[in-house]
Amino acid sequence: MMFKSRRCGYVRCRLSACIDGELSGKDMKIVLSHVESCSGCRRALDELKMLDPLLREYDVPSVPENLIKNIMTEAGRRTAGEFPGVRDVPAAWTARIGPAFSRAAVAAVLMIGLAAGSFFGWSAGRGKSAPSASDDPGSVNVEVVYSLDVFGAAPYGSIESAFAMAKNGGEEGK
Amino acid sequence: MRILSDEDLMLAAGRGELEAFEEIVSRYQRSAWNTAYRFLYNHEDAEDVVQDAFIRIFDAAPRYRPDASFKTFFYTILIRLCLNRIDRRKPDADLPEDIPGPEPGAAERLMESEKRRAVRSSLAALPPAQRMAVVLRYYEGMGYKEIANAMQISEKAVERLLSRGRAGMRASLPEWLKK
Repeated sequence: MMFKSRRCGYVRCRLSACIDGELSGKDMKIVLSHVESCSGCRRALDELKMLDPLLREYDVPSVPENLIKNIMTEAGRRTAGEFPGVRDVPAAWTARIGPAFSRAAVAAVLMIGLAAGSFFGWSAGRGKSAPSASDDPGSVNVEVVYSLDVFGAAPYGSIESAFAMAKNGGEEGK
Repeated sequence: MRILSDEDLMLAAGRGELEAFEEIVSRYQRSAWNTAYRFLYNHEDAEDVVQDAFIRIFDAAPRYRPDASFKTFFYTILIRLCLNRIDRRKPDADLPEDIPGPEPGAAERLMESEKRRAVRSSLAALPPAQRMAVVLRYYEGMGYKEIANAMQISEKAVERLLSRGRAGMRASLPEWLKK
């Protein structure tokens, strides 16, 4: 919407609060003095004021007869424990299960942490493993293939292999 | 006999006194119904929401602390339920119902009926937050601070919602706003 001046834009945003008497004294003064001199803003204010009697036309059917009865029936059931809600949990119960619940929550968090750590450690190690069938057959890492000592007494990288290496002065598996 | 405040009644309801709760319901059922119906403009939805709101405050009664006014506490729940109900509705179901047909031959009645229909449609066309602010302001006579507390927004936001809501209604009801 285009306004005659910047002041019109400022005033139009405050007309609603002006009608409700919710403006500060300073803002009210600004709005009212502008409205006196601006026919567009005065018309807008008059139309907003006319909304009030118009909105009163929106009548509502009377409250359903059985509303209070239904509510009280439901409340009665809850008091009797037919539908146990939050109010039916005895205070002693909550006091009893409270500490146990917090301990269980801590244990669960630790378990989840351990499981997540194991998973991520495993999946990170998987990325660095020996070449698989899914890799490009033309780009087999020769170093990895020739380092596999499948016929040796002790597998490469094992404690036995390291012990043998120390014993033989640096030559592993001999 | 001393008339108990809403807060005292709520504390008594928290101790399981059903009579106290019934007094709260009878005090607030009318305003709750009016608000829910004017916002949802559907009989069944309004009834469901009002019942749900009262049952929720009954469930919450044992934990109720009278820090804020009961009215604000109650309206916060009612408004939340109304807004949730609108969110769950299908867009094509968002039309006013219960519009009585005019009696034949009465031109004045026909015009009044048309006017009511226009006002309902105009209010229904507003976005939910604007509609709720307009309902609380016009029909429940709440001040900006009270609306802000009940809707859990700032007073400035209430001012914006009402300003936009009124501007929207003014734009959609031009023929009824002529002198």
